[in-house]
Amino acid sequence: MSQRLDDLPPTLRDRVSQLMAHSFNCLCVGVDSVGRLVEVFGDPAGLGLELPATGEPLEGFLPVLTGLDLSEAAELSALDLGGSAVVDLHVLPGNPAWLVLIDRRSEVAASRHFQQATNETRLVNAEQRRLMEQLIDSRAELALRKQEAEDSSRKKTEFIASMAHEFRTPLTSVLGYIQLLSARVAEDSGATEQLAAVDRAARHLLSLVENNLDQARLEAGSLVIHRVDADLRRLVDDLTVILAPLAADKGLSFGAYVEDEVPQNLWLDDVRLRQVLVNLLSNAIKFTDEGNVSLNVSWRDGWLDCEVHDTGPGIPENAQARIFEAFARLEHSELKPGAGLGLNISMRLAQLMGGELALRSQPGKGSAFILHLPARLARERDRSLVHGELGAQLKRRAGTRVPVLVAEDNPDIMQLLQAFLEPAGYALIKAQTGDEAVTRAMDQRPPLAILDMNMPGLSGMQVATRLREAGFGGRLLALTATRGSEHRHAALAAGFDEFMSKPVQMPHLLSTLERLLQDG
Amino acid sequence: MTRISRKVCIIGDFAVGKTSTVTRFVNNVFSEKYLTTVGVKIDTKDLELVDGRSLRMVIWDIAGSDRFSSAEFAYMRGAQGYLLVVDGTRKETLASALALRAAVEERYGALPFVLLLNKYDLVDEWSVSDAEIEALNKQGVLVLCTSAMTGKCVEKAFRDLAKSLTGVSAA
Ligand SMILES: Nc1nc2c(ncn2[C@@H]2O[C@H](COP(=O)(O)OP(=O)(O)OP(=O)(O)O)[C@@H](O)[C@H]2O)c(=O)[nH]1
Ligand SMILES: [Mg+2]
Repeated sequence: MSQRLDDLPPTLRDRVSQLMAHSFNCLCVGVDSVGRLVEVFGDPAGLGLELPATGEPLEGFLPVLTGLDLSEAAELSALDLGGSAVVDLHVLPGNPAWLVLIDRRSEVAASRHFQQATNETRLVNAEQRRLMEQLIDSRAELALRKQEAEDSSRKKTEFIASMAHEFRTPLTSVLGYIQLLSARVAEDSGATEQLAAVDRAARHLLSLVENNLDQARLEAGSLVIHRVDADLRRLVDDLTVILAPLAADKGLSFGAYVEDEVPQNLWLDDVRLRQVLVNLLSNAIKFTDEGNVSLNVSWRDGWLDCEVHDTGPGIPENAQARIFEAFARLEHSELKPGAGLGLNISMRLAQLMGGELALRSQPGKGSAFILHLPARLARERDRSLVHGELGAQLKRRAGTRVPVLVAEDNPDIMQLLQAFLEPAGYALIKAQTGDEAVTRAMDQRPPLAILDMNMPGLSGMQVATRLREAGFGGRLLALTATRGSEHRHAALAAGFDEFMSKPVQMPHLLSTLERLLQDG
Repeated sequence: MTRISRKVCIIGDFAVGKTSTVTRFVNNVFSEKYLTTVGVKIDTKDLELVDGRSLRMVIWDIAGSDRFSSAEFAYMRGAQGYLLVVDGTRKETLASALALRAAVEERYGALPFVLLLNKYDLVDEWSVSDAEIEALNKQGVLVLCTSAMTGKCVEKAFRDLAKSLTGVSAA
């Protein structure tokens, strides 16, 4: 190249080199065999470069020369040389060797835009995939743990149940033989009383065994509530027949009252209710030495209250919480029989029936245990199928699944959102495009909508604007792959209430949705 | 004082933190914002060696990829060693790095390199396992846990590489 240029007259040569540099926006640099600058065509500054004077070493100015073999033709594209120089470099070997640098600033800027978007999408997808894997792992782990817990709990229950069974069979025959014997011994022999003592001890042993069996079932969650149309007055009559004699034996007065407003038939588990009341009343009789023991039953707005009152020693305040624990025994009660399971079982049965067991007591002034149970009128029960047994949270959710619109075109992310939102009590209304999101939202008017910002068709931003213009009153949450406060401001201005960047942390999403619902 | 120059490359999958590592080393700054590299970016940094010489490291920061095309192989020509960067939070980038290493060795022979497990500040979220790291150590690979964000071991990575290029420690 230099050869031919050199053939031209000097003025023309300058003109041509200027033109060349201009039209290609390029620079030609001649380098000798020891790396010194020989000749330059074009304007280094125009490319954002600085070069030494002719005859000086080049490498300090052009670090790209380090390791570059000038005896071989080479082509390197998109080199960012620092400063603002971004060039394609061609090496033409010879003496001098020529470096041809062609400006690529605008091309590189354009392809950066594209590459950036591609890479960011791949990052978000990778993160989402990681979350999916975590979710799947933790689900498998949970299932395994649950299985293990269930297995061991089942084994325990089986063991206790079989033990209890083993005890019960011989005890039953002991009780039978006591009856046979007491019929045969002479009235006045003194043996009657001794047999009565054996009978009491055997019955006590039997009740301990039964309690252990119930406790095991409660632990295992295998104790099930069976509701029936129960006649409360009959139940209370039965209790009086069983317990009044026990009270009379101790010289206590016993009263059982059912208030007039208590309906004839209520929807409840009469067997378990009877069990709890027998336990509370026999405890009251056991611990009271003078005065009276009473049962008062009232009913209001679907709730039954059974209050067992005694004039016993009362329970000190510091012991009141502990008294419901399994095997808790108060000091002063150590001489009394009972394995300490009764109150714990009563409380858990009360909870299982959807109610609670409360205590009001003052030392020296007696105690009152109040059993508070949901008990619908028998014919009303269908109105509310779920009630009582479920925890307060579940109850709230199960009754009212909160509809939420989710507009998201990526099926993986949709699946992920679904996996988290449904168990948390949301009902998903799905949309895959912006237009679909607008239609569904205006149709079904959910209180919440989660919009992906980059959807085919209408963008999340446009969807929000349209919804707000159309008077959509629900809360809007933007999900986006981009971060930064300028995006956030734009989203809020378009009518979003909240803005979250992907990858979304699911617990954070759930708490944000809760908050939006509460605010809204 | 004698001055020598050496060309080194920094390679690895996209967004593993190559540019961040170079920027931390050269300018001692870090940015959370991801700005992808197109083509290659050339930077220099001078190190003093214990023998009194000065080493200019000419660092070619090559756009991330999991496979080299002829353009990237051309960038690698003339390099005396390289840093191989992995994002500890994305285990697939370790596989990419090992594939790149194999490709480079096939083309240019066994050059000195240091493997960087980057984003150590996020070690709680790492998906590269200790067993995998141990296996690399066993193969004699020089592995460093680095963080361009905190600067942890970034300087050391370049110094270790400089030492394998020159046989002399940096001062
Ligand atoms: N937390 C953390 N983030 C980092 C670290 N190093 C880099 N990053 C972030 O990771 C993203 C990618 O970093 P870059 O240095 O641009 O990655 P790269 O390897 O040069 O990417 P390409 O040029 O696209 O190949 C940026 O958002 C950085 O802020 C690190 O040590 N810790
Ligand atoms: Mg980069």
